[in-house]
Amino acid sequence: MQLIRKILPVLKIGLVCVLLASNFLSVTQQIPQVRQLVDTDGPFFIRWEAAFEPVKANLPFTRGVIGYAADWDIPGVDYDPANSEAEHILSQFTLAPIIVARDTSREWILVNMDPKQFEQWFALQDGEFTVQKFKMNLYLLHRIK
Amino acid sequence: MTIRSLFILLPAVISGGILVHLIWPDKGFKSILFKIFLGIGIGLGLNSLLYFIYLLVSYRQVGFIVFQILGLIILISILLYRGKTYRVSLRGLNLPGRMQIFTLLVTGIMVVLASIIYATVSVREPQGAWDSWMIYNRAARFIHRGGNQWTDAFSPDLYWYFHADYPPMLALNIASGWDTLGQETVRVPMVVGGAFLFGSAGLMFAGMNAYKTTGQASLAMIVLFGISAYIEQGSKQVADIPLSFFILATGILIFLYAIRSQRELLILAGLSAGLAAWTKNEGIVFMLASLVALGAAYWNKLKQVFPWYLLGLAIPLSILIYFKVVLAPPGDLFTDVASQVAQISDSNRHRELLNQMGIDLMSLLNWKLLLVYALVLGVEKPGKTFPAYLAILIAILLQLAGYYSIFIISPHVLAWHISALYRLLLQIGPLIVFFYFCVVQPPETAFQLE
Repeated sequence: MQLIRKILPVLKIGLVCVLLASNFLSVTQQIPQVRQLVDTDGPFFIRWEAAFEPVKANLPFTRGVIGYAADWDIPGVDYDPANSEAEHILSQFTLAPIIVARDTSREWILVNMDPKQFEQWFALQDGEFTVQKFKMNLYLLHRIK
Repeated sequence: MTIRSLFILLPAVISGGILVHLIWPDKGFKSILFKIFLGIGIGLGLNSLLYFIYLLVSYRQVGFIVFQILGLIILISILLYRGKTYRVSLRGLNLPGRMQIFTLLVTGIMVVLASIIYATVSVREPQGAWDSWMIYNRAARFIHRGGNQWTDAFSPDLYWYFHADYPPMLALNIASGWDTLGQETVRVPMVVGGAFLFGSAGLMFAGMNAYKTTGQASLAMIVLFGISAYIEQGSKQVADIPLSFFILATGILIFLYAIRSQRELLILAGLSAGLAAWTKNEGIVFMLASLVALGAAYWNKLKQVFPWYLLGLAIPLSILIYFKVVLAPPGDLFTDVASQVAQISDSNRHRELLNQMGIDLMSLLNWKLLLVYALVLGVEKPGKTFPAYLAILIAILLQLAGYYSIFIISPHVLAWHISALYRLLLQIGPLIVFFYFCVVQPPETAFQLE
């Protein structure tokens, strides 16, 4: 018991130091981790925004709702849902304040598919459209009838 | 641009600090320090509420800065008028001892390290985390670019994963910054994120310093920075860190009320809980949890506690109700209630969630070390702070129960929720740290300097 009483003050001081050191190390270890992060921003967003500039320019309004079609609208096609959703999210982020609804019944529809898939999808559509093609497999459809 | 982005936040932050001081005119040095940090969150929270009202009334994005500055001038005038009778006191300001100087030094180094991480992440990911730009910066773009159709930010035509139903505290602060600058710059959300990250750390330090000792305050702040990924997530502009600020602030104010019995502290606690609800849907869970927790802890003093807490809650809650009822689309969590409730009997879902919750809770902090530390340094008898201990403990447990319940009945696959669980735990992490350091003896006792 006497030994514990002797050791306890030293143990307390030691533990305060250990707690400080442990959290200090925890933070210092984060520095190399954050340096290893992949640069997903900057040029990526700039490229994406640039690709959508002509789409914006060809829409007759700057606010409102347009439809959006992607791989998921083609029956029986295998696609990566995460990738397709990411592209929809980026399209919405870029085109804001225009709402990019996952709905193909709108007057204006943005289609994000490769040319082969687009042909496949377009063949299934009712009505008449004007079609404009842009970079990055983007199509802007305007429903005439 | 970073300096300008920082500069445009100042009217809101200074107004917040002055307003807090006017509500709770305690003149002690430790209280003033606490109010400076509390003012950051309260100021930005109220700024978003005012901007929301301004947009609803005027439907124009320009000119808000005039109201911000006018508000600041009015608050400064009231402060100066009151200053004739209230002078700042240096009560509570003692020269630190050697041990305290050492812990303060480590705290300073930690702030520098945290700043390096914040700067590195901000430079590499200026748009922030996926959720940050998809939900909050996206909504800010709608508000800033939307003209008189700014409420399209909350349109039901937006697909569910944009979470247009989320409260817009962050989006409104970002948009108001862009509107004032006349430019959409990533520096504004970066600076807002940084304000809440470092504001939370300062709040932890100042709150613990007001309640306990400088050594304990330093340790609490160091352990807060030591929470895995807290700095990184704060740098990535996620809303969980601002929410953690308001949850922590509410907890500290309830503790201070338990010690000082000043009802103004309850008004501020209610305001902070209301702003938590205005920040994120999980904040609504916290607001409800705090009401239950306060009710349970002060069941014999409800008439003394609740009116003041509800008074603070009233403004943010009224605006939140308006937002949820009039503007926000239905959320994605309650689509088919009958089949969702049936998921309660799915034992696999419970097992998987409990398992992940255990893993994430364990990785939040170095629990083993904290346990040994508490056992060796000892714990304090709660005394008159017992109701505050109880209230905070109940609030933390109810918040955890809230996450658990939502995940169990959610229509989404559990794996998707589980991937975000750790980030949600960061919301209550700082309050857990504060609670822990309230309970354990301060380091001064180890150095016999108490």
